Amino acid sequence: LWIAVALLFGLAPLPVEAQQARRPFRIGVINAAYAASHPTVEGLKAGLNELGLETGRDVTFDVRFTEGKLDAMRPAAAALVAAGVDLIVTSQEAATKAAKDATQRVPIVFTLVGDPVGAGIVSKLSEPGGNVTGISSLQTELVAKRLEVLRTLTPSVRRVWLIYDVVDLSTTPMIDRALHAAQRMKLDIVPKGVADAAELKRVLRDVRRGDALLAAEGSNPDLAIAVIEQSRAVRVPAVFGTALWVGYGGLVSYGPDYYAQGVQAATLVAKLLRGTRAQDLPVEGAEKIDLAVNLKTAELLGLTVPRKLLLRADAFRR
Amino acid sequence: MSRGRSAGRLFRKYVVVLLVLVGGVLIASSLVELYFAYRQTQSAIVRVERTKAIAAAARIERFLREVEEEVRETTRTASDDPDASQVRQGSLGFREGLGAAMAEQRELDFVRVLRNVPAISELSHLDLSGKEQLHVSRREPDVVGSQADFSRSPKFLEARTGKTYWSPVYLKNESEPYATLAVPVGKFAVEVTTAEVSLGAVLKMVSQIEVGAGGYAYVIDSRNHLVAHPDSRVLRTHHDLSNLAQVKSAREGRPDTGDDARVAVVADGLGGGRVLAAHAPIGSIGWLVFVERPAADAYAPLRDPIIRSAVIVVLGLGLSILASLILARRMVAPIRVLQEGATRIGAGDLGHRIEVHTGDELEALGDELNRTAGQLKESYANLEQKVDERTRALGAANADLTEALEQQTATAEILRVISGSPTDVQPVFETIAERAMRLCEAEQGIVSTFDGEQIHLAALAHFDERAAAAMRRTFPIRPERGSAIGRAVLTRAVVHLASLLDDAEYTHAELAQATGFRSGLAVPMLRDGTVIGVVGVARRTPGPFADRQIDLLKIFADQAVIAIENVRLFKELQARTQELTRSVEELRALGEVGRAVSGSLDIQAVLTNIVTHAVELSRTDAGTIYEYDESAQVFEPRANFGMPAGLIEALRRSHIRIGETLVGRVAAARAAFQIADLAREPDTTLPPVLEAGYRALLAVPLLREERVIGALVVRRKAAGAFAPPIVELLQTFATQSVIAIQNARLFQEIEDKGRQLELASRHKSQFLANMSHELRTPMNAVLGYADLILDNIFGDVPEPIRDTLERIKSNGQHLLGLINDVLDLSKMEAGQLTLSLGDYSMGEVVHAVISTVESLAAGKKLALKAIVPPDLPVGRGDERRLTQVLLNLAGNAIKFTDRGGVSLEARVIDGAFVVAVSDTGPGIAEADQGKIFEEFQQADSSSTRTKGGSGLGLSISRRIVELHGGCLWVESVLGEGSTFYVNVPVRVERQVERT
Repeated sequence: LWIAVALLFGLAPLPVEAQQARRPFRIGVINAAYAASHPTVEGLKAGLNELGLETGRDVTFDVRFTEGKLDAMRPAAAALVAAGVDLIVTSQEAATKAAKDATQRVPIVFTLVGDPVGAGIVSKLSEPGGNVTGISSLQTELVAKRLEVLRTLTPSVRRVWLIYDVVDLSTTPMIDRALHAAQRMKLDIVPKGVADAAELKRVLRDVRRGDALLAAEGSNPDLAIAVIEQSRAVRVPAVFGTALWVGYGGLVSYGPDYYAQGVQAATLVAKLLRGTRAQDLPVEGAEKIDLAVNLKTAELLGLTVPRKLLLRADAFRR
Repeated sequence: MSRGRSAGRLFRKYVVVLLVLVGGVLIASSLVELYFAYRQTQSAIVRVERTKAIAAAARIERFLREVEEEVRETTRTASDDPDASQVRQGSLGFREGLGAAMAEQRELDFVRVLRNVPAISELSHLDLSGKEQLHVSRREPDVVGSQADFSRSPKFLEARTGKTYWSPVYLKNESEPYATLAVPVGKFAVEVTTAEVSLGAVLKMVSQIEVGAGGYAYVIDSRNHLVAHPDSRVLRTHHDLSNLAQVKSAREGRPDTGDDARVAVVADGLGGGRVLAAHAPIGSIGWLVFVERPAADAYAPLRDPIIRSAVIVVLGLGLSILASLILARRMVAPIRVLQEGATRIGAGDLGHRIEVHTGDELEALGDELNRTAGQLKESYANLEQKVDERTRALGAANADLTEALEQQTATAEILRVISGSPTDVQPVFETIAERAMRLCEAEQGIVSTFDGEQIHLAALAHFDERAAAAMRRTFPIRPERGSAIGRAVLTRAVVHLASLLDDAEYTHAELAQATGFRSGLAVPMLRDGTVIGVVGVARRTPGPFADRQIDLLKIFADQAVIAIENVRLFKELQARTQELTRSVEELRALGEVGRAVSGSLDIQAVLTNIVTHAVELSRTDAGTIYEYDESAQVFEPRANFGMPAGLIEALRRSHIRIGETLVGRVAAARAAFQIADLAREPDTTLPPVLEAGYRALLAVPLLREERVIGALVVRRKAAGAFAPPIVELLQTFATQSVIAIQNARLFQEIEDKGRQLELASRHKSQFLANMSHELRTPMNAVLGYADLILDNIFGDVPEPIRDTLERIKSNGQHLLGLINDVLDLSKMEAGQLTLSLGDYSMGEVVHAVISTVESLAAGKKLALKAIVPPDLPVGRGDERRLTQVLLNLAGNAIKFTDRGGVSLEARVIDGAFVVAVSDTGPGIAEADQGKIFEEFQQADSSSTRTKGGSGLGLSISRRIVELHGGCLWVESVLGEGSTFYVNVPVRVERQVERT
């Protein structure tokens, strides 16, 4: 009997429940990029890695990039939902809306959306509602700042051609904002919706000396590249929404970084994967807002970059 | 009863006392231990929490300090940097130059801070009077000299006194926490720089603190307002936390002593529920970091000790029960012995002696009881002797009854066996042999049967296997007087041989020697006076059998007869039943096949059904129905049953022709044909059939009016001829197959014809539509040019040409009308005509029609009348098409009426417009009334020539009305005029598709 009692006292505590080996989370990605290695996606992966979610071991990615085709977004989103991903990360309005239409169940984290409320993706930044949250790239809000940067660099500018993708309706609130800001800054804004590079070329025939271009961030990367080429060809300054284009030869940009938005989105993704509901995660504004100048392009246009910009800017020489 | 109760009571007393002692002590000690363990866990948790809070506080403080440093750094350069005052000094007056240079430098500094410190979103410079001179923002355009007045604002007032000022936290976009930082500019503290600082970094730090499941950390500012909390909803909704117990306690407790016990607070958490809270202050700005965990977490480590304590308590209780059992037994045992002894003596066991050796009053009580028992025993002894005598007398009387009962039982037993074995007589025989031997006190019992010539042994019961073997060897025997059994058969009477060896006729002396039998008894089994067997017994001692035994054997013989009869009748019945079942099966199968044939057009299913039933009912293994393909002149297998796939394929490839194989031969002969054994006639079939193991074949032709349309074949693996009923059955199935194949062929033909018709009709409609269009286009041109010429566009037209042109024009218009009709009709046929639905007034429609045909009527001097009630509802439908319908009806009425008048009357009946167009014309014969609505028909074909018209109008009108979901009909008596009725629903919301 006493042996039994002794045995009971010696009872080992229950073995700690073994950490359950869980299958990796599957993250679907939709964007209009031309390759899977979109900077935002790279940032997302890096961000998740930093938060302890290792690619391959804890998370896997299913990246659908539509090579600039907006009408390919819907099938891509539907395919992701059908493939049973745990979460969808989108870039820009078209992809986000496609994902939102495809599912009301799978959580969606958007990036590079210039104005989530204006675009009707969420009803309120603090309470997004539904299965959608993400990072606002503040494109609409920053347009005034962008004009200011343009004028700091080329004080003589009087007329700014706002070039936007005619099929991309998400740029509308930004144009309104630009018109409003230009009034105070005594600038003429000429909004020009173009469908493709050829049309842009036609439009830019009317550009005179003293004009400048403002390229709206849109879903069509072709257009930004065309603006870069055309602005260099006709020697007019152009301002862009993100540093990416300055890297490709654009003159100057003011706006959030693609990569940094991916990193920032990773924190939301991690929270969602750990069980927080999307509706409880407020939409975040992009944290990292950069000013970038391409000194070589500035030289080409005969512009001296003032100290104020140099102090603030990341400079490129390409 | 009383024993159990008293023992139970004592037992319970012991148990309760021990339980209270052992269990009470155990429980008390466990509770004390658990309480202290709980307190320890709680303080451990709080210690961990506090460590985390302190670490977080340090990190947050470092962040805030870095921000502050950066902002201060700008102000220092702006006011103290000697280089700054040198800039552009020459071009301006000193004061302005210095001011401008400082302003520019400040702007550059601000820009640099924005680049270096992502947390700062805006920077402002306030001058001496608190007016804003420079505002640099990350998101908004910069503003120089806005002159906004902040002189009353606390950030200006506080910072001007030289202190660093942190404003209360505010939320941007309701989710991003921000605070305003204000620092004095330079050493003289006269101007102020303010910065809007995003606390997103603090939020991130707080979110990343791991406090276990359910735990969380948050930060409050100096006014106890929430600064950062991992859950954004909490951040939005809980602002002022002054009322929380842990906050109050933290505020009261300052200055901080770092004492764990004091810091541990159990309070209500932010999300409800009790929490263990610890806090740490953040530097000098009065903010606090709180770390909280659900209080329930403190109990988690107590789970194991609780289980352990419970086990100990249970064990203790078990031990105390065991101890009480042992003790109780010691105390209660002698009492129990006494009690038990008294009970046994009371129950009559007077020899029982109570053994109690306790040496006390209990032992004396035992002895006293023993003495009383001894006295009782003596008086019982006398009584028992008398009872014994009486019992013996009764026993003798019983013996006779027992024997009679045994015999009754035996006959009953045999009857039971008879009823229990209706199909087999053997068990009955065996029972009879055994019972006969036993009840006749013999050494052998025997049941034999007689078939008219010989006597056979049916059952043998015996005591001696050697004797029995000798007995068995003699059978069968002939009915002779030499044996008791033989003699019983011959005499048909009981043969009673009291001494075998003394009987003069007995011839089996050597058998008697071998078996040792000396006497025998044989009783014949008689059915209707005929002997069918014998029941016999034999003994090894000579001497007669008792009459009772002879009678018994007679009864057994009768029972054996009954049993034999039973079995015979039963077998007959069974055979009949089987026959009947088979007939019913056949009928049912035929019925099913018949139903399938008449109920299904799926030829494959029907034929498979037939072949399946044919195989099953003919008790064969496989079958095939062939269909004769007349064009190829070969037999194609159409349905198979029970055939391996390979064989089916082989049959399909074999292309049997008439005259070839059994199938071909049957077809050639137009009669059934069978092969009993294929092995003997291998030439009559295909090799694969033989290889598949079939030995017998039966084939019947499928004939329709003496034409071969196929054959039905069944195959059996066992060789042998097929009975005529099976051949007949198969012929029936063949007839069914013929009907099925015939049905299917007819159906196919009908379907083909239907398709062709449909196609033709579609082609016609298409042709009409195209044609009319092709006709209309040039016709319009002809009419147009005629108009132009008539309008003198090409110069004056002489009168004769004009007349001719007028005629061309009117005939052209007539032709165009006809073409239009054809076009409308073909559109409808092709399903292309759609109504354009809209609101209309039926009254207006009627009046429009009247005004259009007015001139026509006037030309023929006919009265024209419209009756339209003023209160007709607004209709919905295709006004133009409905007008067309009424116009057509009215036009017809006028066209065919030479005298009298035409009237249109509109009414509403049951939610539908009913418009009646009546005339006083020739009327339409009843036989023609249906025809006139068909295409290209008029009541009198000759009237086409006199009255004109294509004969399409009514057909089109009817379609239009039908598209409205209405109907058009005529009521007429020959010679008394006609009335056409149009009935359309008042509100037509949707076009009715043609069915």
